[in-house]
Amino acid sequence: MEERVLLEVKGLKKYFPITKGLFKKTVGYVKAVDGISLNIKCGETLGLVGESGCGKSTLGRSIIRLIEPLEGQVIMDGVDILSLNKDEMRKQREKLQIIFQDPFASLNPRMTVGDIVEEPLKVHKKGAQNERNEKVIELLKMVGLNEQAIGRYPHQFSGGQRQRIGIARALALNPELVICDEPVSALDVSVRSQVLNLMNDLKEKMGLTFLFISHDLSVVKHISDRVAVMYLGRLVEIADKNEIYNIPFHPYTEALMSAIPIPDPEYKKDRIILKGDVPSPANPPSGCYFHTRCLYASKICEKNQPELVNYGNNHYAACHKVDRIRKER
Amino acid sequence: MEPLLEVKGLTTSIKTKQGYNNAVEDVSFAIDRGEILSIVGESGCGKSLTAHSILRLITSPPVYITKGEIFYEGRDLLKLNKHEMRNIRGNKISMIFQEPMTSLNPVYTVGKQITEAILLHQNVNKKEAKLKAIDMLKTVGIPSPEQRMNEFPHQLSGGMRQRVMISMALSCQPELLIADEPTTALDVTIQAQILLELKKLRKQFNTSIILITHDLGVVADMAQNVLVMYAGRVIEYGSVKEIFSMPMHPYTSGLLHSIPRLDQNVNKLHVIDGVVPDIGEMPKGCRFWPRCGKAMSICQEKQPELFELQEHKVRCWLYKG
Repeated sequence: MEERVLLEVKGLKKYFPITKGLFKKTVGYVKAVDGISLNIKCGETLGLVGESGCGKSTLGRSIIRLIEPLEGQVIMDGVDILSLNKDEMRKQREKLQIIFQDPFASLNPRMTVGDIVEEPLKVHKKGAQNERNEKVIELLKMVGLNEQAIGRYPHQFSGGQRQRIGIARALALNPELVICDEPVSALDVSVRSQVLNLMNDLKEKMGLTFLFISHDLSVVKHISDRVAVMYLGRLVEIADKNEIYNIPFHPYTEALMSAIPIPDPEYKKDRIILKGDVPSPANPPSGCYFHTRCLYASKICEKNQPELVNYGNNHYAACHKVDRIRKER
Repeated sequence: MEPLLEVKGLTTSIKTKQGYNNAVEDVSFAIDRGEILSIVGESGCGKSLTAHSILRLITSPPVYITKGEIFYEGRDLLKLNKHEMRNIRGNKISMIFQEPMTSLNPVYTVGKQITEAILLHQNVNKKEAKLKAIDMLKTVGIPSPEQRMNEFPHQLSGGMRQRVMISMALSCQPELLIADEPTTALDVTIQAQILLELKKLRKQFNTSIILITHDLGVVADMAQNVLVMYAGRVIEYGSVKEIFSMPMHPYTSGLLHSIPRLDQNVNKLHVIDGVVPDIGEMPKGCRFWPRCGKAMSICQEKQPELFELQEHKVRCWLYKG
């Protein structure tokens, strides 16, 4: 794999205001993304996992400015894309595409499949009409749909097929980075594996880079090269997938991994059951956000926010207790 | 020993302009006291409708139970009148639903909703009912239950709401709990908490549980027996141990192989081609044959029966006597 960094995220923040009363006075902020830095390398699939409300989708959308971040930088080809104006950003979007979770809500029900897939080509003024038509057919074939699909409407397709249409649309402009926001979460098991295989094939064929956002850790492990774990708007751990799944450093990652049900009745393991719920991102705990549920927490965790530290092998974790946890194993 | 609940040849149909479509067809199973039976399948396979049929919680029209018997402690539930059925629901058989947000009433406090169920089914006064409700909330692991009693559903998190649902379902100590995708809307760490609570309750009260899910990981973790459904029919039925180690039906084995697993690395996932057929356009013969890699000519002609191989039942021509 190439080691070139395709996209660099630096200290990205997105707070949503909480308003109250008649005059919508701001009474607080939901810290959905709270200072995240990471690199996405050329040709890799970076998995981003976390529980609902941890800010993983907000992060994905902030990177391509579907949501305007509050502060931070997103650097691609030496340019901070957050500083681009509207026209420049539109140009940049050719390289940055997104696949959405809900194959029912993300396709316009009044447009034919042909129009849906053609739209990005039109917007970016790619080729003449007949060239675009050819490209649409090529794209549909690539995702395993036949030519007749062009004249049909989204409601005539099943969930898995709709997700294929969404993929064809995202790939129409030959993007470099595709943000996949829970692309298979709404699909049934037997269809899910079809779509996952397709995505992997296309990635290899077109040399794509994926940021794969999901709450399903088994799926993320299957598709990713590296995995990043988020908790309450912050990164808690990021490492090579085999590293992070076999020897997680952060207690949250460890609990998350152990909570996944394995489809094998003979498989026995010690499950770590976390106490309580995820705290509200509007009012996160002090210090390390995880200390209220952590088995290893001590005084320092309540006071200081841990930094992401490289523990060798590009295995980063943000925890005060990593050394102790590693010793105990 | 007589099983607690026995379903025999249950067929539930949806009436359409074209006639009756069997959304659930000839489903039979039994569950013992203290057993966890899992019904597993993909969306639209009829697993939820089977469960709703047991409690007769279906809306007729357009849905009707057209055939079959459901014996609960020797009595056929389908022959009971409205009043008798009401005594079964909640008292003997309870249900928890997938969506804890939509199944709780948003305008009443949690406490009011649980005590309502207790007052309705048990011969107690308000004060006793309240104490019992607090006790139930404690049992399912809700911290400071006295305070939670006065809160509204929107003040609780998803996991907490599901706990409230469970405590409500268990407040009258039913012998059978039907859990319809109880953890599907929840995060994995919260799912692990809820599944643990269900296991504890089963141990404590010897409650039988019918667990409906699409997650084979949850099945392996929780159940003793499993019923695999496809397109309205039972295609495999047996102990979890056997079916997971030796799946017989091509669909079951395909399903098991198409899940990415944490303990294994593979480059390419196994794929079951095609999609689940539409209810109005079921193929003739075995409903799985258009997607089956082992389909023979007989599969396209005749529907296979549920062949019995000792304790393990499978609906596939490959296993005919």
